[in-house]
Amino acid sequence: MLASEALGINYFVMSKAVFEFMLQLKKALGDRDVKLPDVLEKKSTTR
Amino acid sequence: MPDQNGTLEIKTVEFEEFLDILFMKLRVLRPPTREQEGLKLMICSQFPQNKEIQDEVLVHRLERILNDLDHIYVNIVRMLRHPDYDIAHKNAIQKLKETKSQVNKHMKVVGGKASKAASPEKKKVPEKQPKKK
Repeated sequence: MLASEALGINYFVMSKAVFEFMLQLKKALGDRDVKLPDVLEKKSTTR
Repeated sequence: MPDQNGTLEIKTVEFEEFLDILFMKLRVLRPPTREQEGLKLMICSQFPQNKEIQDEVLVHRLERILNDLDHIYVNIVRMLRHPDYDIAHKNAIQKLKETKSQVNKHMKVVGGKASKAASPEKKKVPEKQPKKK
C-alpha cells in the first residue's frame, strides 16, 4: 500500500488543474534539488 | 515520529501563504480559484471549526502525495480521461465535505462534553424526609 493511500487520500478529488499543479511542483522541487519543508520555511534565503 | 518527550511536531503552513511561497520561490503557478477547493480538501487539516488551524496545509501529507505521484500517475491520467470522471469528482468532493462536517460536529460534541466535565452542573435532588414513626 502506498503511503498516501494509507492516509486515506481519495484521488478523485484531484482535478486536472490540481494534478498539473502537483506535477509542476514535483518537477520544480526535483530541478532545484530541494525538499518541500525547506521551501516552506518562512525564513527567505537571499543571496 | 514523536520525539523523546513524546511530542509530535506537525509542520503546517497557511494555504494562501503556501501558494504564494511556491510561486515566489519555485515559480509554480497556483491552480485556478474554482479548482483550489479540491486541493484544499486533499492537503489541508480537517478541523474547519478551529480558526487557528483552518486551511492549514499539512506539509507531510503533501510530501507523501508527491512521493507517490510517480506510482499513481498512470491511474490518475486514466481516471481523468474516464467518461464518468465528472460525477466521481463531484461525489468525492461531496464525501470529503461531509466527512469534514462530521469531524467538525464530533469535535463540537467532544468539546461540549469536556466543558461540561470541567464545570459540572449540580442537580438539585430533593432531600429525603425522615419517616415519622
